[in-house]
Amino acid sequence: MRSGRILGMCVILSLVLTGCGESSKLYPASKADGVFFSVPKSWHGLSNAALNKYEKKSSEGESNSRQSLVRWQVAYSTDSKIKVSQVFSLKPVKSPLVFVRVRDLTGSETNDFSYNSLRNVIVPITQLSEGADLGVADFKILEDGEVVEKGARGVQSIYSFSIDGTDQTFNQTVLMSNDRSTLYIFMVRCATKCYTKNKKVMEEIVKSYTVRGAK
Amino acid sequence: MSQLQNGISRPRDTDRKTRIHLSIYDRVKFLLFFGVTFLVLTWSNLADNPILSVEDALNETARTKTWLIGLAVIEIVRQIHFIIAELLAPYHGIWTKYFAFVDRQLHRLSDWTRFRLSRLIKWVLVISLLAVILGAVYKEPPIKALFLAPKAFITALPFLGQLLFAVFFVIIQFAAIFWFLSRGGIDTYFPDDIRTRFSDVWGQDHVLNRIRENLLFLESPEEIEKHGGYVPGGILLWGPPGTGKTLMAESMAGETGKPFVFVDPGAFTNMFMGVGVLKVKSLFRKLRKLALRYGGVVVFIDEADSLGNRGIVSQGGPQRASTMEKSKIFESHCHGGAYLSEPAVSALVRDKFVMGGAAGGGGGAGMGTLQALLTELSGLKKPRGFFNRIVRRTLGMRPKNPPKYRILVVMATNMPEALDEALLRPGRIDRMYRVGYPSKAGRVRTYEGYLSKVSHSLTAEEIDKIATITPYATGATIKDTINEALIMAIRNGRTSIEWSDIVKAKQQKELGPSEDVEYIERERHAIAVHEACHAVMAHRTRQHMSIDLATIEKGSDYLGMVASIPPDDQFTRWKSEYKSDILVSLASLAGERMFFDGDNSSGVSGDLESATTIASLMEGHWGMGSTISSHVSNRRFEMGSPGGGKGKEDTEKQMRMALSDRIEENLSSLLTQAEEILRENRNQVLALAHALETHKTMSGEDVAAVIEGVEGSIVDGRPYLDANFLGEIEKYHSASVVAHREHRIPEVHLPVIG
Repeated sequence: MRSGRILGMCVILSLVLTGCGESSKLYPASKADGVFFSVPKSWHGLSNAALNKYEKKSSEGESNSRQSLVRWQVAYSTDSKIKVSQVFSLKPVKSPLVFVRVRDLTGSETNDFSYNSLRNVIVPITQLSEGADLGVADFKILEDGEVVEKGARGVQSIYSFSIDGTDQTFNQTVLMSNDRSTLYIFMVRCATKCYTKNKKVMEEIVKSYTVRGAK
Repeated sequence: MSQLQNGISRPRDTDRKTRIHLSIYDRVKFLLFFGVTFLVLTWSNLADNPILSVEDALNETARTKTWLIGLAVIEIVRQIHFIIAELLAPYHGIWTKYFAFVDRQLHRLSDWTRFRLSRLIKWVLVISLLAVILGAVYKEPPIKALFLAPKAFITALPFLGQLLFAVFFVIIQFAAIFWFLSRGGIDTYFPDDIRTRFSDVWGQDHVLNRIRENLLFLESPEEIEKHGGYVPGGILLWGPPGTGKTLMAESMAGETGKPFVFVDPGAFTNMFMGVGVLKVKSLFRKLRKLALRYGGVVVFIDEADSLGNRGIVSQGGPQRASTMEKSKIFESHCHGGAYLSEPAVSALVRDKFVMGGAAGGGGGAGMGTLQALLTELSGLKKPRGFFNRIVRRTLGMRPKNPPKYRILVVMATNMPEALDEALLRPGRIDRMYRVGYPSKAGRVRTYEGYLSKVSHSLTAEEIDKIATITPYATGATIKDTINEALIMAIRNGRTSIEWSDIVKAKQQKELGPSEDVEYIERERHAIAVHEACHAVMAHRTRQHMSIDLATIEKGSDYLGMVASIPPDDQFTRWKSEYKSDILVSLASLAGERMFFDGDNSSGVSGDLESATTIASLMEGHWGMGSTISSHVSNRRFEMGSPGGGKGKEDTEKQMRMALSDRIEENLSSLLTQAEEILRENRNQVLALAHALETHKTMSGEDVAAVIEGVEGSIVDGRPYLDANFLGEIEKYHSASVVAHREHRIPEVHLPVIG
């Protein structure tokens, strides 16, 4: 009967509209800064507020004023018990950790920053690669190359080193906006063993990282 | 096989047991709309986040836009409700009862309250929608956005101004022209604006009583509606000019507590096509609004004939003829037509209709104005209001019936035959009242009314008399006469009107100013004899008319005249009356031949024409001759007249001959009769001729006094009984006859009394 068919159609349409499943990923983003990336749904996040709070508490003086430059930062990990302190420490983590930060550049930074400066934002790679002894061992640069996004450009570096005998791998992408006013820091890291194990997921996360630039 | 082929009518909505089936489009249109909205929102999500997958974007939209899903679910429930109502009669029945209940609850509020409520709701809806949209634009909560909007508006004002100016500059040229053109001609008076009341309208009581009834129905329409009737919504006042139609309408406005809208005769005449239509539409929009707000409104369209008519549809005549021609045919007769059947009446008037119809048509405001008016007067009444029409229908409820607008349309015209047939049909114009010449009582009242506004010394008898001798006076002419009398009084150094002023004013108004031509003596005497013959004959034979005045002063189109008036309001005419009319007409010919030795002037031509016309009508139309059959019918059916030939070719000719013979015969016998009467009254004729030569103009009263030899109001008739004086008059007459024959000045001059 015609009305039966129509009723069926309505039900199907409504099911489609209400959605049978949920999103497969999380899409953390700062639309104002034009920064997007995705992590698997099962990952746990540390909010902008939590990170800001910790940073404010632990830092003083100059670093405090630097903290005020931060526009947006979030961290995600597979570990539900991950602590904020672990995000800001270079000590190896046992589960994959993603950290994103968007901050303004100071006037002098705007003038001084080079690709090397971008590389050295988290770890002084340049010095380590020249063999400087900064308390870390087995420093290796695995990959290094230029990244050009729509709203920014910079360098991506994959490197590993060990602290306290545990080897860990960093995959960092640091970009500077085209107008040289904003710094985009994106980092995925884990103990090398863990990194190798979760390489596929982590590479996907890195691939999803997109910078459109502020509107 | 469809119901149409089966011959079964499609059931009415109220007769259906189940709900009417919806089309597929109607079933899914809202779901489609929601679906499209959903997709647009998804697309917006995708555009927002470049790394989002389509699937995740869909999921995201579904998660964040739950209101849309909610609406879709409501729509699905609604459709399920409809489907069940389409299939199950009891289920539909319950809902029908429920909506009927809701309707009853709503109708407890008055029409005007519901109108205001609906307007309020409409505004709230518009403002909320605006708030939501602004909220989306400003990324703020809707309420806050609503307050931000004016700020943004003011900031953008200069730019908007420029933009608007550009747009308006183009549009305004057209819009302004039409706007200005569609203004004017329509005035609204609110209760208490007008001081005229029914008591100011004199001499039209019968019409006023009917109008009062109409106003009563306008005030309390429920009285007739609860018994299943309907309130008559249209009145046509028609009649001769100056009989008080407009005054009556004005008094209606004064009497009723409703607003009164006056429509100028020229309001619908326009230079451009379509402006008239716009005017009619805006007029009725205004009327409906006023009707709702004040519980009723009276609209008066003056000189309704200016609306014109659409001409005659070919072959469509009898209806039109039946209203217009019928009244013409029957009004001067004894309503003989009332005894005939409708087809017989139509047959009777068909000929006349064709003649009239060809000449009529067109004219007036035209260009769709009349049609627009017809439609507004009784077109389809569409349900009003956005909520009523759209929202209620969306919810599956039937729109409420439009409120009953209490609009009383009053039209006035003195040319009802120029009105469109469709305008006069019941439902548009329900009642037609003839506002005729006022009755005598009405005239007395009118004279009294106008005289009370000036200073005068007239007695009640005199007022009665002036009302009697002015049978066709209307409110306007009475007012004018009184004013003229006042002017005469003032010119004579008085401030108070006297009887003589009234009489002179009346003569002045009826005859116009005399030309002040002095006749030569013998011609003066000839004219005086001519008029005296008429007057004596009228006095002796004509009882249904009395002499109003006799004059030998030359006017614009006459040398002298004897004017008569009917002493009573009489509606039937009789053979004896027509006969005496002919006698009075023929008296001039008979008299001239008798007094001037068989000679007669061309001045009798008019008299002969009227005598012949009346004699023809008596013989051929009115059954007052020697035959019975009507000449009109005989001619139409090409029958011979009684006793006429049978041959078809000669029928008409013979018929005419037979008829004209009979007419001539009648006239000859009446001429002989007239001669006899005049011979018997020879002295009276000469006496009256003398009086006319002396006084030039005499009132009817004085004419009668001279003939009877008694004292009149101005002229004393008693000297004319004196044989010596009569001898002198006779001598003067003889001398005048000689002078007439020889074209010289008479040897004897006009004798003077005393």
